[in-house]
This record gives sequence, C-alpha cells and structure tokens, in this order.
Amino acid sequence: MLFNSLHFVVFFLIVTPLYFILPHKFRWIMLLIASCYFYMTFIPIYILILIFTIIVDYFAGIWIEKSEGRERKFYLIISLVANIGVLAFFKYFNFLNENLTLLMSQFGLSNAVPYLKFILPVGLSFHTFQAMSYTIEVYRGNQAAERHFGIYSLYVMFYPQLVAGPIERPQNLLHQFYEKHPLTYENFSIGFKMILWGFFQKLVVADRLSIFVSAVYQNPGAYSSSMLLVAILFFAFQIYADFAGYSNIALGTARIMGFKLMTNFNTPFFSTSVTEYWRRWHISLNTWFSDYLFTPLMIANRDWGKAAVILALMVTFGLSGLWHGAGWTYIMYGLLHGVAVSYEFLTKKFRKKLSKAIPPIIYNNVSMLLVFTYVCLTWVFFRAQSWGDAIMVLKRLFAFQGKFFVFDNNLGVIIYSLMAIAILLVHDLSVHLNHGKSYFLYHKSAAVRMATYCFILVTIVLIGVFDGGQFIYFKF
Amino acid sequence: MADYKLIIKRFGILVIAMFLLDWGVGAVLKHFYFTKKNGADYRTNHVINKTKADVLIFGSSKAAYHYDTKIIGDSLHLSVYNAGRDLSYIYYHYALLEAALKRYTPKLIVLDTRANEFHMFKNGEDRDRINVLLPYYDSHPELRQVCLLRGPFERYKLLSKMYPYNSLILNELVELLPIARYKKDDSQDGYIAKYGQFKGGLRPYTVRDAVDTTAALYYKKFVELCKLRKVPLVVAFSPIYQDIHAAANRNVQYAMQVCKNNNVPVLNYLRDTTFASKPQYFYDDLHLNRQGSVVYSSIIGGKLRQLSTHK
Repeated sequence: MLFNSLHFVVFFLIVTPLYFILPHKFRWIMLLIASCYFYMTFIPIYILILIFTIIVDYFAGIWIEKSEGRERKFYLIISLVANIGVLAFFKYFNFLNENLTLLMSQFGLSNAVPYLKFILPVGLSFHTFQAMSYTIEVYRGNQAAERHFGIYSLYVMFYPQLVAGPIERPQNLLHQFYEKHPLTYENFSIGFKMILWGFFQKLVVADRLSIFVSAVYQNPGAYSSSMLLVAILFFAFQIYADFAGYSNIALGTARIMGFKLMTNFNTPFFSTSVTEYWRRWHISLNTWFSDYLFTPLMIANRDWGKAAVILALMVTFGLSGLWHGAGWTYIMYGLLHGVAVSYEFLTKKFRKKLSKAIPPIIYNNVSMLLVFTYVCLTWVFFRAQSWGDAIMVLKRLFAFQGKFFVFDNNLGVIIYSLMAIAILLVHDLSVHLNHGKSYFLYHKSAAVRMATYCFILVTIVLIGVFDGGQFIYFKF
Repeated sequence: MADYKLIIKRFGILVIAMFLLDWGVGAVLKHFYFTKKNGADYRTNHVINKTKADVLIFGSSKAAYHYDTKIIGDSLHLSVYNAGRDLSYIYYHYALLEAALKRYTPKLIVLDTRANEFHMFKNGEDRDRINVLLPYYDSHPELRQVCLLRGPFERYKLLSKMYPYNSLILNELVELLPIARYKKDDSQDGYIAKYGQFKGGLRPYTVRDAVDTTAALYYKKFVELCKLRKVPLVVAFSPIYQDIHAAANRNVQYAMQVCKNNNVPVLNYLRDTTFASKPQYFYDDLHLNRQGSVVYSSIIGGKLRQLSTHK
C-alpha cells in the first residue's frame, strides 16, 4: 500500500479514528493488526521474515538483559547474525554471487551457485536496522528489554515507518506505545501540515520531476550535455522530495495519533559542507551508522590518530552506500561522500581560516553551491542503471555535446518541474530561516495558514502527478 | 472534547474553502479551455464539438505531421481535418471518433497506425495521456468509458472541477497572455509542418512488440465503429527512418489482421522505397519533415482517390 494511493487514504481514515475510539489497552492490538495488513498489501508471504526476526530479537533482548559477560555478547551476535543474514540473503546474495562469478571467470573457473529469483521484501533494510538498534541498545544497557511481545512487534512493525523509516531507536519509540494519546488539536494540526506538505513533495515535485529524469536515464546516450545537466539537477530534487515527502507523511500520520517520530530531513540543500549535509539528510540512518559503526570503529582504532577517523569514515560511507542497494554504483556513491567528508575533516583548520577571510554571505553561499554541485554529481552513480551508464552520463555532461536547448515535447515537463522546484525551495528557505518551521504553514495568522493549505491543495490537484508510482526508498 | 470541536471547526472551514476554490478555479479554467483559439487543446475541442470535415485523419504526432490537409483535400475535392495529436494513443483516437460520429457522419476516415500502436507501457503512459479528454467528462458521456481507463478511482477524482485540468494549467496560463487570445490556430486544419532535417543514420527498430490487449481492443473497436456507422475507413502506416521488419512485428501484424477481418484497406509505407533511403524527408527518425510530408500526402491523396473511385 503506497502512501500516495487512495487505498492508503481509506486505510488512514479507518485506522486513525479507530485508534481514538478504542480504549487505550486495545490500541496496540489494533495498530499491530493494521500494520500487518499494511505490510501484507505488498507481498503477504514476506511477513514471515518479519515474524522470524521479531521472535529472534525479542528473545535475544530478554536473554541479553538477563546474562553477563561473553554470554551477553553471544546473544547479541545471534540477533545481529539473524538480521544481517536475512538482509544479506534477500538483498545481497545475487550481488555477491555475480561478483564471485566474475572473479572466478578471471581464473577460468565457473560458478555453479545459481542466482535467486525473488522480489526484495519491501523496506527490509529499514526494519532490520531498527530491530538491530533495539538489541544493541539493550546490550549497551541504554534500553530495558521489552517484555511485552505485542509491543515489541509493534516497535518493529508500526505502519507509518515500517517500510521507509525513519529508523527509530527503542528509547524514542517503545515507551510511546504505553502512553495514552488523546486527540489534541496541536497533534492534529502538526500532523496535518506534515502530511499535506509530504503529499506536495511527492505528487507535485518528485513524481513530476521523475517524468523527465526517467526518460533521460533510460537512454542517456540520446541526450545533449545540457539536458543531462537538467536531469542531474532534477534528480537531486526528485529524490529529496520523494524521500522527505514519505518521511513527512509518515511523521504526520504518526503525529495525529500522538506519536513523535524522529525528524529525518532538515533542509539538506542549504548545507555549507558535505559533513553538514549528512547531518541534515536521512538523519535517522546517518545517526544509526554514526552510533553503531563509525564511533565504535573510531574508538577501536583511536591510537591511529587521524587515520582512524578517515578509515572509519570510508568504511561507514562505503557501507552506507551498500545499504542503499546491492551494486557498485551505490558503493561508489557512498565512497564519494566518504572522500568529501574526509577532505573536510583534514582541511577543517584551513577552511576555518578561509571563512574568516571571506565575507560570510559569499563564503556560505559559495559553499552551499559547491556542496549542492558535488552532491548532484554523486547522485549520478545512485540513479544510473549501471556503472557504464553513470560513466556515460558524466562523460557526456563534460563533453558539452549537442544543442543547448532540445526541448521538443519536454518543454512543458521542464516548466512544470521548475515551478514545482521553485515552490519547494521557497518553502525550504522559509524553514531554514525560521528555525526549522515553515514560515507559511506555521504562520501566526490563521488566514495565512489557511491560504497556504488552499494553495498547496490547489497545486496538488492542478500540477500533481497522480498514480505516479512508488517511493524510491521503498526498494531499500 | 474542546479539541475535537476545534478540529472539526477548523477542518470544516478548510473543506468549505476548498470546495469553493475547486468550483471557482474549475469554472475559470473551463472558460479558458473552451475559448482557446489555437494549440492542441483547441484542435481536440474542434474535432469533438465543431468540425464537419468530409475526411477526418486520426493518429498521433505522425498523423499531425504527415498528412497535409490541403494536398489531400485538393486530391479528393473534399474538406479534410487532421485530428492527429502529439503523444496521443488509440484510446484518444477512439474517443474522438465516438464524439465526432455522435454529431455527424464523415465521408472518409483515415487512421494512421504506428508500428508500436499496441506497445505495453510499463508506467501506463498511454492511459495517462487520456488526461487531455478529462475536460469533456461531464459534457460528453460518450467519452467517459475512455476517461475511466486512467484508473479505478478516476470517477471519484473527477468529482473535482479542477482535476480535469490537471497538467493542463500551463496551457491555461499561456492563454491568459493577451496576445494568445487573438492568435489563430497555427496548424493548417490540424496539419503541422515540421521544418528541419534528420541528421542521424539508419538504425534498427528495437521497440518491443508485445501487444497490450486493452490497446488492441480499442483499435478493434475503432475499426468496428466505422464499420457499424458505415463510414469508409483506410488504415495507413506512414514512413519511419528505422530499419523495421514489418512482417515479423506483432504490433503491425495485429493491426493488419484486424483490418483484414473487417475489409479495411491498408496503405503500408513504413519502409516504402520512396522514403527508405532519403533522410532528407525526415525531421527525426519517426517523423517526416515538411518536404517529406508533401511527398507523402501527394501519394496518400492519390491512393485515397483511387480507393474511392474503385468503390
């Protein structure tokens, strides 16, 4: 069930009132059933994978808490192996097999291991990471093991964030299932704003931009350098609007029921460094990697000095790339960010001096532009259908080939896309300058707020792409 | 309890405001849409509501660019209107035919058929393009069946008065420019000349030829509707500058079979020798330029005259 479908609208309109009608003690049951239904609308049988990891992690959590020393570590390892094993099997088996075949062929050997044919379970990377977060936090003593099997199941399966995050931490989410959440105007208002803006991001920006981006990336060899540049820029806004749109709808639907999920995006394109960008982009994943991989790695090798940081950065970003997809293009995407963040780490003092020598308005805006350009170029590896396509796009981009404007049937699509981007940027700028709150959606005047709602709704109806397709991050 | 009341009150105000906006903006867009003087939407409206041309030519961009209405009209001594439209598919052609036949009976219909007429679009682009017919959903019941092909929830979306103009707003905004109000239609009775010459080489035709059953059904319905209304129909495959093996192409063969079953004459110029080795006749590898369309229209005009004489 996609958030941008009428199926979901009906689902939401049934589940949310039901949540408030039911007595508190029955709410978790209703939410769990609704979440199971939500997940099973994709491929029903895959719920067995979730049930398997939920059972393993539930008992691992309790046993970790009860045991000491090596035994404690043993249960953690069991939980991690189960989660990573499921992830590796479904997501990375064919990738590993393909590379093994390639490697063996270099030595004249053939690989007898067959390729597996199945569809990747939706949101697998998200819920396995959330499950691992639970057992790690119990192991670290930051979270008490959850004794209520239903509540623990709901922690993993809570439908707003089940298939594309945000990847929650047990400390933030578990206790909320025990709290009574009455319907409040504040929660409803904030949730409604998030959902509204999320739909705008998805329907008006992401799906509109995807029309042109998909056409170009399907056949990059047929487009001029200028059109490739437009597609590269558009994709940056597309993926941002797609994923941030999903997150906003997720946060909004949860918020109406009184649940506060963690913020996943904070106007990332206004970052003045790649390091800052990663503090604003997919925050729940990046803090996950930071807490459970980067920091432990750095601490383990702290004797190496700066080299430890660089190593930890490259490993973290490489694996973050791999998390997104089983392919070398994704790994490259991650590594390129690793290189940029490492560079910023090594030149921190120099850049600080430079920032003092140049007027802040120039330094900040040039930095923002450079970061955005770099991020856009790394997205080429993320979006291209293959390694060859990514290289072709970059080669053709810098070869300045073809006519500057070849619009033909694309002109309308490009103008609509630019309109959508302009509205997105105005909104995000207002959020950036207004301490994280949209100037228009949270304006003190009710008339301005109402006018904003109406403007967004009218724009969705007139420019939105309906039935445009699934969210990009669903496949992760 | 106070929160419940406040939510209902505020949400109620928003719903009322949206209802009024939908009604108001929808009415304004409708006015601009139906008073257009040029452009693709104007031509669609002309075919649905106005034309009384003796000959109607249906098809996609290939039809719009390839059939010079003056040359064909002079050849047949009949009035001709070209109903071809960029990025339109068989559903659109069928809907337009239904609307036109509801008003009058033309003397001849030509259906330009693409080599990938029944292509299976993974993203449903062909059904998506039916959106240009949505402004007629309320006023033309005969088009509703086609409009509803867009999706199972389309009838509910169409309760909105603004929704039929979704993705057409740009055209409406252009219409607000003072100059646009007085500009005449830039086509010649629907025919659009393309200037420029194709620079690329001959490449193999690689479009997958699996047949979309719904598109095939509507093609058949188009042919059968002409037969039912006793309007002579000619199917034409206009030239492309790609190396296509038509005899092995399932799309082409399906269209041929439908025509054969209904005794519809077929004019196949997909790789006709007049055009096959002459890139100077092409605008790109799928469309003829002005020069090519003149040659092609002269040939088609002659052929149509021959066919009508034989009858």
